[in-house]
Amino acid sequence: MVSTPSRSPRRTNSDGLTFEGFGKSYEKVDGADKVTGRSKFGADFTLPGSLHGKIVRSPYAHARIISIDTSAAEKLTGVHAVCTAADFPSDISGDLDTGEVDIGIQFLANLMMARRKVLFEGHPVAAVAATDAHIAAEAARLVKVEYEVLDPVTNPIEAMAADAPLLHEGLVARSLSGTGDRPSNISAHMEVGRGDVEKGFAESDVIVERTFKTSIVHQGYLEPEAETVYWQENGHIDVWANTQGSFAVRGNLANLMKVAAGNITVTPLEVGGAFGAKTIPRVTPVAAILSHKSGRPVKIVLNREEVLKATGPGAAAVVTVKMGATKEGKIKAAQARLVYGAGAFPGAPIMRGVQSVFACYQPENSRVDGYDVVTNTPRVAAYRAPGATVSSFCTEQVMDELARKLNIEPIDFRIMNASKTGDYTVDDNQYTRIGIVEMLQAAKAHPAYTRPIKKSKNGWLTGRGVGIGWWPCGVDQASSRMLVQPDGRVALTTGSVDLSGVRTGLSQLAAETLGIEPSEVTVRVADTDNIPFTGSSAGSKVTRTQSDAVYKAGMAVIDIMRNALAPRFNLEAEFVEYEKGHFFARDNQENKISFKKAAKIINAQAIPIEATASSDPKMRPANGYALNIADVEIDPDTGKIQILDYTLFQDVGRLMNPTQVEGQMHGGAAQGIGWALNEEYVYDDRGQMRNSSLLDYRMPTALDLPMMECVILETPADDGPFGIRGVGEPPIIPPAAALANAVHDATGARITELPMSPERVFWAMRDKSDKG
Amino acid sequence: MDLTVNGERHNLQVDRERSLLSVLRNELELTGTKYGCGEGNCGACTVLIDGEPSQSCITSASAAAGREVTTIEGLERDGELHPVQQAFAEHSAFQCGYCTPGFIISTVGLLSRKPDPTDAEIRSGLNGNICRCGAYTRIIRAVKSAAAGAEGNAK
Ligand code: FES
Ligand code: FES
Repeated sequence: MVSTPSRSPRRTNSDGLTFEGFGKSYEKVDGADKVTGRSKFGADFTLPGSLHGKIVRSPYAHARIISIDTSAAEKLTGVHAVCTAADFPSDISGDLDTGEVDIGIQFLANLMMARRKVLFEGHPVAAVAATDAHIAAEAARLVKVEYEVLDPVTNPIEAMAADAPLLHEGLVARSLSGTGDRPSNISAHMEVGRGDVEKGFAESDVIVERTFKTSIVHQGYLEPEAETVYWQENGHIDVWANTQGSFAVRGNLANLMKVAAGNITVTPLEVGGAFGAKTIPRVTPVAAILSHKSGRPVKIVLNREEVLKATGPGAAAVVTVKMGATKEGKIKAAQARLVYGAGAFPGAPIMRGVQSVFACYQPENSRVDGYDVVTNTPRVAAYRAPGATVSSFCTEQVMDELARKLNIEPIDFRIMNASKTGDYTVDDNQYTRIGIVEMLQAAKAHPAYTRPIKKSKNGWLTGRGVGIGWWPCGVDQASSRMLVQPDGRVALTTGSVDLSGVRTGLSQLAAETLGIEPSEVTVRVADTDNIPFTGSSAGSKVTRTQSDAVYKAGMAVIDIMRNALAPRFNLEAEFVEYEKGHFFARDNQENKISFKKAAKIINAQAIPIEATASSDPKMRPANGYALNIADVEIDPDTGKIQILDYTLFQDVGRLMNPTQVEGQMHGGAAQGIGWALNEEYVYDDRGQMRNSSLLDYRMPTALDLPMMECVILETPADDGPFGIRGVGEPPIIPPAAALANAVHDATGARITELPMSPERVFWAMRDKSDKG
Repeated sequence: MDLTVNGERHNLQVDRERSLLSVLRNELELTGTKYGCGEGNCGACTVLIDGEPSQSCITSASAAAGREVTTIEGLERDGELHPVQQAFAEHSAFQCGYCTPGFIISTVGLLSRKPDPTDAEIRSGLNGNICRCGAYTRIIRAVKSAAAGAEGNAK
């Protein structure tokens, strides 16, 4: 079968089709630029005449701003603009586009620049723009801010207490049962469920309940935020940003600055990692105000300390999971209470936490409560599958424990209770086609599961653990334009920012649609004036949604070519066929015209061969799910964990490019393993971050990570022309769960706190042996 | 001060204590060398100084004066990619590519000390470089293939 046109212009499902160009590894099309250093990332772009912006930040985690004196800074030679919150429009409104983690517009404005209070260490209070970075730094030091320091609260559970320091005087919790009656640090309470959990627990033979705790972690992208904004005299604003979504930057900036979106052009630059964090405005609005005041382009580049202290990390959480099952292994009831810290302003990923906590399973009765709590820490942003890594860490350990108490092999217990196509989530959404059972069965049959664990060369304790995770994956409008050049090459212009392979992936999709080679396609990422709206590159949705846009654009291009060639065949266009790179008459296959030749002929007739398409708004999310098998050894004297073997399983719907998929799987697992074993924000009792450098916030290097085998599964999504699922986010979910279960297998101790540092593992082992 | 970068001599009027990274990026507009942490912890800024991988963010410009500095822009010969660059491209040894110049320079340094490194030697040789996209498996593959290619050429 070929994927090239059928006469029906719409193909909404890929069942029964095979794709010739899928399953092959293609080199990344941006390879040459990346290995030579030619790629322009955020900080590499400089507009002539640019000023350097520098943000003045609060040294306190919680304080009232008494006064700000910018006069000395303004007088410094070389300083062209100084701004504070007073320079930002105040009566703003509108919907924001901040990816998978929401924030209200007024909160966002206050996050960009503090108004009356500072709410975390690093909260911006002013900013300066000067002719060079040194003058800007000096001017920033000259801004005098008088504070009344307040008690901070950084832990979400403490922040929920009635006597906790209050961050926002007017914050009253939203919940289904109405809003709360008095201000607190709880901004929202979400509750969902099915049936009657009390009855379910009463019918259970075994019940396990545990409370887990995780810290704030950072996405750790290697490239700090770096943006240039030029607010010209004619009112037009140009932005060059290392963002995940150029249209989101445009929309958010328009709302925050009270200008029409049409007066803003955003040009996306290369992005040196983002993982969800570069979806929320960070420096654009500040640079915009400074540019407006100075009349010059302003470039702001953050340093690592600013990135760690004052961008949006992933949420800390305290989660209690209680599950009950019958002797036969049926889960009767599952209950969870998730408290996620949002940082200084509301909007932790509780919805995703709530959706994902039991998503892999079908408990008969369920009840999930999610609390969104503000604390004096940086406002969180999305971090790859936000909310799900934590919820999976908790549920998967309770599942493991429950299975062991029931004397059922944990993987069988999972299979017995797994969610299937057509089942419902706890919040009553129906699953589209999923293959969770198939993934569990593939894992169970795999040598990584059946072979004995390697012997520890150190004579340490060894164990194996399994963890699984689910992620809804997003959908959003995605747009691309296809243009066939006179030489037959195809220029594809897309609205999706390329974080790690969009150009490579779309060249393959265009080629597959047209029946040509990916090397014949050149893909560029457009600025916001040159392509219709396209959602951010977030939510594991780019390849899936763009597959529909690219396919539609390809079909339209072929129709144009078929129409233009019809006179040559002396036929109506509908009798002209196209297959495998050739046009021909339906009832006479002798006279074929190649795609290349057709391109030349048609272009010579001054007929543009060009089509723009957006993905179908009715496209549904195709869920992603992943599983890890971890073999570990643990030093009984120190609690140090070393990985012996590590195997990743993931269902990608349809495998397009194994190298790309493997890259995402390895990358997600590397971050998940770092989160599980090492990474956490450490605060002192004044709310000051104690480890704001990469020496102390340690991310995994080549020495820390094992070789990881990837097992890629294919259950095509039930809609979309290629059956593709999202790939990017699911792989970060299972590592913490799999490793925790492996630690238990090795030591008998349950680790209920992340990261599983040697110290924590050591004490958990001790604790366990004390209790016998 | 005189700074020799990629074989070219530059006479620069800059603060002697300024970091080599800042001078390369801002004065010489060689933006292939990246900033990741500014404190010697991530390797994104790695350049060769007299053939030795060095973190340019914690090296003062004056410390590099009078020595040979090689950046990612200086690896190509006659428009041909350096074999290590070639190997990184062929193995798609990156996701976002921000760490890539640093890894490539570190690899060039590593292979000049140890032309045929074992897996363990590669891992410890590249321990100063962070790839947050987690491309390590492919980076190691690329290093091995570059080493094998160089071996093949030498024979
Ligand atoms: S920027 Fe030099 S080591 Fe990180
Ligand atoms: S490829 Fe992104 S940091 Fe290495």
